Amino acid sequence: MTVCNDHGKAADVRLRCCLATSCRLQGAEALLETLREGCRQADSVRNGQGKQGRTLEIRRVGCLGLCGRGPLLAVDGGPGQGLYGALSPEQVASLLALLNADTATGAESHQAALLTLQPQRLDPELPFFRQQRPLLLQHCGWIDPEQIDAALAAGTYQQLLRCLDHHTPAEVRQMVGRSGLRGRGGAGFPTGLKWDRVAAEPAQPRFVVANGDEGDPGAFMDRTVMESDPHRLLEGLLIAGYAVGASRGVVFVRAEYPLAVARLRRAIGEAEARGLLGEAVAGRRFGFRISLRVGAGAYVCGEETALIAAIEGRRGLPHPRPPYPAQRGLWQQPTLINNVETLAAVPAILAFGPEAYAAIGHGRSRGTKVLSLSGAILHGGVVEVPLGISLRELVETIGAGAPEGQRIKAVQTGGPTGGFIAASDLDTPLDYEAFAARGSALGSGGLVVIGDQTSIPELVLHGLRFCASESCGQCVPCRAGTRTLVTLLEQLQAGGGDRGAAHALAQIEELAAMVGSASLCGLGQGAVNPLLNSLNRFRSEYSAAAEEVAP
Amino acid sequence: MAEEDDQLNRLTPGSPGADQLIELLQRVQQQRGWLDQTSLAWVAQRLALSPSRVVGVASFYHQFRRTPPAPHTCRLCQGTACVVQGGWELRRQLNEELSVSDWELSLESCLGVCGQAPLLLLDGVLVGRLPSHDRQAVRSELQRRGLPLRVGGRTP
Repeated sequence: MTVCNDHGKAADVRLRCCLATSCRLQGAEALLETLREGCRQADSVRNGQGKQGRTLEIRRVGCLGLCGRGPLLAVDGGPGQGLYGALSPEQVASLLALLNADTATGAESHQAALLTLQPQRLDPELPFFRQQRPLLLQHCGWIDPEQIDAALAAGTYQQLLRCLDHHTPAEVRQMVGRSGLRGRGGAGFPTGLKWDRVAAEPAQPRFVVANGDEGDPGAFMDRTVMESDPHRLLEGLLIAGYAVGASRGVVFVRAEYPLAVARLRRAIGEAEARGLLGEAVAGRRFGFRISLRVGAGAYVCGEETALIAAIEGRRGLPHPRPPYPAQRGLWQQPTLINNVETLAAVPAILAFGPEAYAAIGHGRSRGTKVLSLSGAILHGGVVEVPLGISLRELVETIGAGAPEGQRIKAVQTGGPTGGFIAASDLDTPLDYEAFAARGSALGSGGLVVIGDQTSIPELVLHGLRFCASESCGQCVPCRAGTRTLVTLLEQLQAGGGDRGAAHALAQIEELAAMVGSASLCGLGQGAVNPLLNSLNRFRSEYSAAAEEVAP
Repeated sequence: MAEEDDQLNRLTPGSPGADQLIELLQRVQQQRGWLDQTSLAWVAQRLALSPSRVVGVASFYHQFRRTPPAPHTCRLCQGTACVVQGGWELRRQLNEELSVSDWELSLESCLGVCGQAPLLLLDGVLVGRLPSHDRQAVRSELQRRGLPLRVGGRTP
C-alpha cells in the first residue's frame, strides 16, 4: 500500500518539493497539490485492487538551489530518481504512474514514462551541484523549514548545547576567531574580533541583532537561509548571545520577504515551546529571548546605525561612528550586529571544526560563501562555494556561462555600492581583497552577470537613481551629490552638454570622488563605486554613448 | 471612528512604546490598505507620540502608503538582473501603454526571483521571462493575463 504522508518514516521514495519564494511564484503550491491529489487517487485505486507498491513521502522543503528552473522537485529513490524543473501536470501524472506502478510492471512502460520526464530532468552531475561546498546550506532543501522536529533531527541546536555545556563564552569567541569568519554582509570585518568588542563592554543588558535587511538588487542569499533553515539562524543567534553575554536577540527582516518573516515567526514560536528560548535555554543557566522585527522598506536600513533606528521605531537615519553599536547600539546598550549569513555560519563552523573551516579559502578570506547568481547566466540560483575559487569557475562552470546568443561583458558584484569585474578579469579569485583590488567589492554575495548587449553606463545610471531615491537625505554629499550625478550622466548620454563629453566626464569623476569621500555612511560612500570603477574599466562606453548622439 | 478605534485597539496587545510605531503602522495599513490622517492621528495618540514623529516615520519608509491603493497592481521588477534582461524595455512599454485608472504600476527595486527575469507581478501572480524585445508578444501575453493595454500608448 502506498502511504501518502508528509512525515513518513523511511519511505521507499521521497519527493522533496521546493517551497521557497522563487519556486512558489513559479507554481510550487499547485505542483504540491497535484502530487498530493495524484497520490490519493493512486492510493484508492491500489487499495481497491489490493496491490503492493512503493511507499511515498511528500516533503515540503526550502530552496533546492537552481531557482531559474523552478518549480523544483527532487525525487529520492525509485525509477524516476533525480531533480526536475517545471514539470507540467501531465508529466507529474507520468511520474506518479511510474512511482505507483506495481513493481512487477514491465520495463517498457517505465521507459516511456522516463522519456516524457527527461526534458525536465536536471543532471545531478552538473557542476552547479557537484562543485558546491554546502556547509551553511547543508540542510537547505532537505528539511521542512516549518517543522522544528526536522531541524532537530538534522542536528540543529546541538552546537548550542555543546557550547552551553562544555565551553565558556570566551572559548566560543576564540573558536569563531580561529575559523577566520568575516562579516558576510559586505564589510568583511573579522567576526571573532567584533564579538570580543561587545563582550568587553561592561554595560548590561546587551543585544544581538541579526541583520536580514537584504536590500541589494540581485542578492537573495539571506532570504534563502531564513526561508529554508530558520532554526540554523536562531541557533547562531543563541550562540552569539551566549558568547557576548547578551540576553536579548532581534531578527530584523525586510518587509519584502513575507515568507521568511512567516517561517521565522513560526520557528521562534516552536523554539520557545521546546524551551530553546526563554529564561533557561534548554534548562541551562542561560536566558535568551528573540524578537522579530519587520522593516518597512528602506535600503539604508541595512547600514547598522540606521538599522538600530528602525528597530527603535524611528526614521532610518544613520549616525556617524564612533560610537560603534558594540559600545552604544540599541537603546544605547552594547549591541552585536551580524548579517544573517554570518550568524547562520557559526553552528556550521562549530560542527565542522574552526580549523577545518579556516583551511578552506584564499588569503584572508576563509571558509565558504553563499552567493546568488543571476542576470545573463544559464544556471542562476543560490550556491555555496569555497572562497578562493575563481570568478570564472563560478560563472562559466557552475553557472554554465551566458545563455545562447550572449557573451559575458562583466559581472556586477556587491550590488549598487559594489562594482564591475570585466570579462578579461574573470580569473580573479573570490576573495575580499582581490575584489577590492579590482575596484569592486565581494559585498554580500549577489552576482549579476552582464551580457554584451547591456550598456554599462545605463546600468550605472540605473544604480545611481536607486541610490539617489534611497538616500536618507541627512547629509548633503549623498542627497544632492547622487542626484546631481544622475543629471550629469543623463546629460552625458544626451551628448555631453555644451562643452563636450570629455569635460562632462571629468566633471562627473570629480563630483563622484567627492560624494564617495564626504558622505556620512556606506550608502553615499558606495553609491559612486560602480561609476568610478566603470569609468576606469569601461570609459570608452561612456564617451561612445555621448558621441552617438552628439551633433 | 470610535468603533474603528476599538478594532484597531485590539491589534496591539501588551504595553505600547515608541519602538512599536513601525509595527503598529504596518498593522493599520494591512487592515485599511493605506494610512489616512485619522489613522495616523490615532497611532500617535495610542503610542503617546507627537503627530510629527508618526508622520515622519510614515513618510520615510517606502512600504507606507499615504494614498488609497488602486484595485489592481502591476509590480514591475527593476532589479539589476531584470534590467539586464530587458526590464527597461518593459518599463517603457508599460509606461506608454498602461493607463487605465484601476491599475497601478509600481516599480520594485528587486523582487528576488532573478531566475525568471524580466518579470512582473499582476495582482501577485508572477509573469516571468517576458520577451521584452517583442512589444507585440508582450502585449498579447499581458492582455491574456488580464492587463488592459493600449496600442502604442494611444487609445485605439
